[in-house]
Amino acid sequence: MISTTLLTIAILASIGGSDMVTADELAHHRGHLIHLQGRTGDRIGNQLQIAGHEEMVAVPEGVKIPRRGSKDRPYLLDIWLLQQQQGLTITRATPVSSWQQCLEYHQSRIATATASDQESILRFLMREAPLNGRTQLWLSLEQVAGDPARWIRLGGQFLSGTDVLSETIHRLSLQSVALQQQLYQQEGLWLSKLDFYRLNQLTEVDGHTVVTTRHSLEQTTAGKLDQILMLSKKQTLAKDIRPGARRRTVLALHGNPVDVTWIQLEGHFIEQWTYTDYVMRIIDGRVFEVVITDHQQ
Amino acid sequence: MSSLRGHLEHFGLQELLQTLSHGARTGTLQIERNDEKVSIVFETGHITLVRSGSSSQIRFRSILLRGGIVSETDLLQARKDQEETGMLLGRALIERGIIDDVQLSQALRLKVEEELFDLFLWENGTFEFFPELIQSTAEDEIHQVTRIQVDPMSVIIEGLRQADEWKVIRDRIKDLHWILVPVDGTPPPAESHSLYMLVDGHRSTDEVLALASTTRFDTCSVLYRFIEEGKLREATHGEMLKEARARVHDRPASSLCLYESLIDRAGTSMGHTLLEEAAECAAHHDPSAQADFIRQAVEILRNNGDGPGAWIRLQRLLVLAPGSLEDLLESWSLREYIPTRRVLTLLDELTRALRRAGEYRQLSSILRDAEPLRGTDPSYWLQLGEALQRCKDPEAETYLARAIQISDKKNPEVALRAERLLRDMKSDLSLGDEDVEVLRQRRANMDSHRKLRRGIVFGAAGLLFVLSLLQVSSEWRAKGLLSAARSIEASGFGISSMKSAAIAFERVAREHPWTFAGSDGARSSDRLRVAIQQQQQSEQLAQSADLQMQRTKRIEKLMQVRSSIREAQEFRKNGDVIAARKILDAIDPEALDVLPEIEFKSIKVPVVIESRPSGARVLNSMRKFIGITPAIVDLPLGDEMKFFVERPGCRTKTIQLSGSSPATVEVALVRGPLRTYTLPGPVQQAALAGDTLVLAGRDGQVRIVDVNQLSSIGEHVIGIEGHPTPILIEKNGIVLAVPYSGRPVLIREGGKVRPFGPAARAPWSAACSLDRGWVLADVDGRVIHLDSRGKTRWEYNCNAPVALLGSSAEGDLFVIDRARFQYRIGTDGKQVGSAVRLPGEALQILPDGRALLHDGRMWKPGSMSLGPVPSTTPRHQGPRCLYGTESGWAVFAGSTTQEHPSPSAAACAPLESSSGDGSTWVAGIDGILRLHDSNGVITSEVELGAIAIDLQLSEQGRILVTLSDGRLCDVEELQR
Repeated sequence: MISTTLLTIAILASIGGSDMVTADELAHHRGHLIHLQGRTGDRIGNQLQIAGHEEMVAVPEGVKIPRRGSKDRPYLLDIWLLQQQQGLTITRATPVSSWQQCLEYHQSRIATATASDQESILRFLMREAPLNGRTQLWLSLEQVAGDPARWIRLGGQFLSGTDVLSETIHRLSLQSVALQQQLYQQEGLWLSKLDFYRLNQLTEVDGHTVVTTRHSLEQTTAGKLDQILMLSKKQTLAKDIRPGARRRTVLALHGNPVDVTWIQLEGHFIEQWTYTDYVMRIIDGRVFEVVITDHQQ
Repeated sequence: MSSLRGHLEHFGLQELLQTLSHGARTGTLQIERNDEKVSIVFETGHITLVRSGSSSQIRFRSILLRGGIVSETDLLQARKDQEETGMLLGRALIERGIIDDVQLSQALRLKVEEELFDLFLWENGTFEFFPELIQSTAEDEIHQVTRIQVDPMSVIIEGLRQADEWKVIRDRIKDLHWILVPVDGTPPPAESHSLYMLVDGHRSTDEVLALASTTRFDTCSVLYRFIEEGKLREATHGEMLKEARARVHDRPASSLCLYESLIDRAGTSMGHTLLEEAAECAAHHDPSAQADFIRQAVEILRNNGDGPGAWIRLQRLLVLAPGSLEDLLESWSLREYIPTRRVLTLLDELTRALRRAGEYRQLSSILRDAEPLRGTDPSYWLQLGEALQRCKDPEAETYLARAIQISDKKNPEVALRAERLLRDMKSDLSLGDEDVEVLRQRRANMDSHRKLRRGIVFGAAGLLFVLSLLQVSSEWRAKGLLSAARSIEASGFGISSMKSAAIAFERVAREHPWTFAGSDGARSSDRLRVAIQQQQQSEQLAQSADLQMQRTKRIEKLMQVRSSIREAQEFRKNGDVIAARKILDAIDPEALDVLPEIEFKSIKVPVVIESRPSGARVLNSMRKFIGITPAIVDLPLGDEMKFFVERPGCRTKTIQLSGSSPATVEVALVRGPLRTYTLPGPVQQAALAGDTLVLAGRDGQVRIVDVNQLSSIGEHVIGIEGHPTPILIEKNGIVLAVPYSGRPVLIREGGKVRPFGPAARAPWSAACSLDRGWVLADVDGRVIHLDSRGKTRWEYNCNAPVALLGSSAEGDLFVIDRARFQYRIGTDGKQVGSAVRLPGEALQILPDGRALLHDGRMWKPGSMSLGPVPSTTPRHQGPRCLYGTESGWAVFAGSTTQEHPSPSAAACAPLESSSGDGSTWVAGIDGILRLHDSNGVITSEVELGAIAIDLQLSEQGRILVTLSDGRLCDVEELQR
């Protein structure tokens, strides 16, 4: 009954018409009735994720969400939302008829939008653009974006590591702007901070940059010390490496590792030896875990 | 059906209007005069509409403009609306908001009144009244826009008054086309000043009336008053003529009006000149008017007895209005002034015009007059007879019979036509059937002869045409070939191209002999053949002269070469090798070609073989001893000979020499190391502390070697096997070894080892020495400064794993973390300034804060310089930074990086020689250690036998090379 009422109100409101926004602007939007364009993400029960918006929105019974398109890239939808005390509720969703129209409409809004909304619209357009047209779109947004810093930041977010980004920064001599916008140059390419960290085995934890392997070793071993010690004390005579094998055996069979890291936990010395195909985890000189690396992943 | 009709002469307009008004009549009163027609609509005795033809609209617009109600632009726009929508002009003006209904009504009323007042000036005309109302049309602005009613009585009173005054005015201003001129010296009038200003001596009265803002009657009244008061006068004849002439090109219509006024006023007294001027003017505007003016001029000339002049004008007239009977008759009357041939043409034209007009009587009269001209022509008699026959004149038979008689055998056609007319007239003079048949036969014969002649003429013309076509075609093709031949002649140079051109010209002459181009081709071919012959002769002469000159030169050269060789042999005999070689080198190699082979082979060229180091034995290919370097060998010019250069401690080198080799050949002999020592374990890092070499590998141990004895002093486990190689830092004869995990150790000269500093809490990632103490850093970003005893002086925490440490010239510390931030830490452990982002991955920090980046750039905040890409770890020695590259090695000094080429890419960081002359040792990946001088020239080579990992310079001036195969080589730096 309640949902029917809600639906009625929402449909009436949607017929009345309101300004259409992007999913990324939703966080700044204050209205009770919202018409936006966005792409749906994961659905958990009656809660649905909208790409570009952190909080989930409710889907009442009877409201159908078009789910066609590919699994990774569902349809771009026109979504009508109703702001309620418990959060946002979807009242209606229909596929967007044309990406080109959507692009033109939101581009035309940029000039009159606030600075934060401009950021949101640009991010939305780049994210939702067809992959093969993203580069062209970014190049065309140079004038629309106004500030070169904002434009380069947008390029860093969506075109990190691409030749076009690196070529554009070089051609327009925007190296200092790119550095200011947290972009990193590596082997001739410009990378976003995320990609740079990933490539250099770094992770940001509580605002502090740490080595990824060391951090994951800490995560893996935390709270499992007894179990690990038990595994490491196994007696093994096998020719391949198994829990209980000694460090010297590992060296004899596989040679020096490509990468080594270690931590100390409650007086125990825990190491991770990384080979091309294996990861050996060693406690106090004895292997407690062997992980086979799947390169295809 | 009309109920009232009559003439205005009998029943005046005022009486008509009074009658219809008093009778409260409804209907339409039509008044006509010549081509003018005015319709007045009455409704119950009141006038509601007056339609007066095309001038009605003009009058309406004039009233609107005169009253200042609308502007020209408004009218133009309203007119456009009217054309596009079909609405009335008045409605369009109202729709546009330019006027309102009241203004429109007033304007229309004024228009009706003016049109009625004008009627009172009519002195003759007919009228008709009928009870039907005429339908208003789009031209009538009244009924569909607004209704007006005009009282006829008020119109009558005003109309009569204006009619009376108008007569007086027109007595004074007779011609409205005449120009009025202000009288000089009279003051302008106080009233109607604007109207007075319109009279400028150039405008006619009509033009002034059109521009004036008052009605025509009122305007004329005022002008009349001005004339009476002597303020205005009529323009003189000359002024009028001047104005008329001035307007001819720009305003021909108005000019013509002026001319007409002038001609009207001049009457018969005017000369033909004015008329001809008017005719010229009319030529721009109205050709029919032009013809009229010329006719008047002709009439005047005739009256004045100027027949030739009249005929000249008449000719123009005949062109302007061809076929005009009136003009032709006029011309015929002037035939005595016309040349006979033209008279005959005129007679033909006149005959045709009179026939068209059916004026046969007049035609017969004219033909009779023309008898002296055409009396011998049977056609003339036929025409005359025919004309008379049409007039039913019995004389026709006589003339037709004469036509038959004259025509006889020459013109059977005329005779037959005349005979047919006679038969039609049933005349007795008509011919018998036999005669007619004879005439017909004769006509048929003449026709067939005519046709035959025509056929022959056409055939001949066709044949000529075909021949012409063939000739033109042939000429065209020949011209093409000739043009090609000319282009061959123009484009080429020399005899061969001239020959080609001559052949081409000959071809034109051969293939198209009967064309102009063919004859041109033949002439050109002859010309070219002569030219070719002449050139061939001159070339032959030149060749023989050339040969003679070459022979002379060769003999001279031979004498010179023999003399030089003898001189060189004298010097060589006297032991002066250099002078001998100089003379031989000075001989031009081409000059040697003149020598007979036996002499050439006997020439021996001395070459000095030097070696580095010197004192090497030189052996020939048969291993026969030649001498000790520097040694002299005499070599033939052409053949190469093999020599061996040998020296103990160096590899034997084979060289190929000939007489064309340089005067001095230097052979660099590759040395071997002085001593070699096989290390007891794997090595990746090395550091030298005095005479003690510290080596580290990935087995977790450091090995200490005495470089004098080349023997191991000891081995110490400091890390874990399999972990990355410990970091080795040297300072003042002490080496700090920092393992990946565990506690660092300090190794002093002589091999004393002691633990130093704290144990690792996270993997150590960087270390360096400072003026006072050491600095260690780990992957948690912790930076620890240790004093000389290993106590922690201060700690600093970076936000990311530390990647690189370096000390500044001032004793501060530079830290670069893996997030590419550079920090400067003061001696008190506090950060100096803010962290700076590096644009790339750093390999080395120099004491001035510069960082060598992975891609070869040397970076410092605010400045950047490009350099070659490093392929080895860098080494900084004082202010200089050296590193290996793919094509040699590079050194950064001052603010620039200079790259030096080397035969092989560097395997490890280059090392500056202890000589201080800028020489640098570079170990190549080809296993050879080379010493480059400051100019990059290789001055010494040492064969190592494996790729070098590290170079160290010992205090004894020896190079210690750690090799990848686990050997340590001791190389003498200074050459003995």
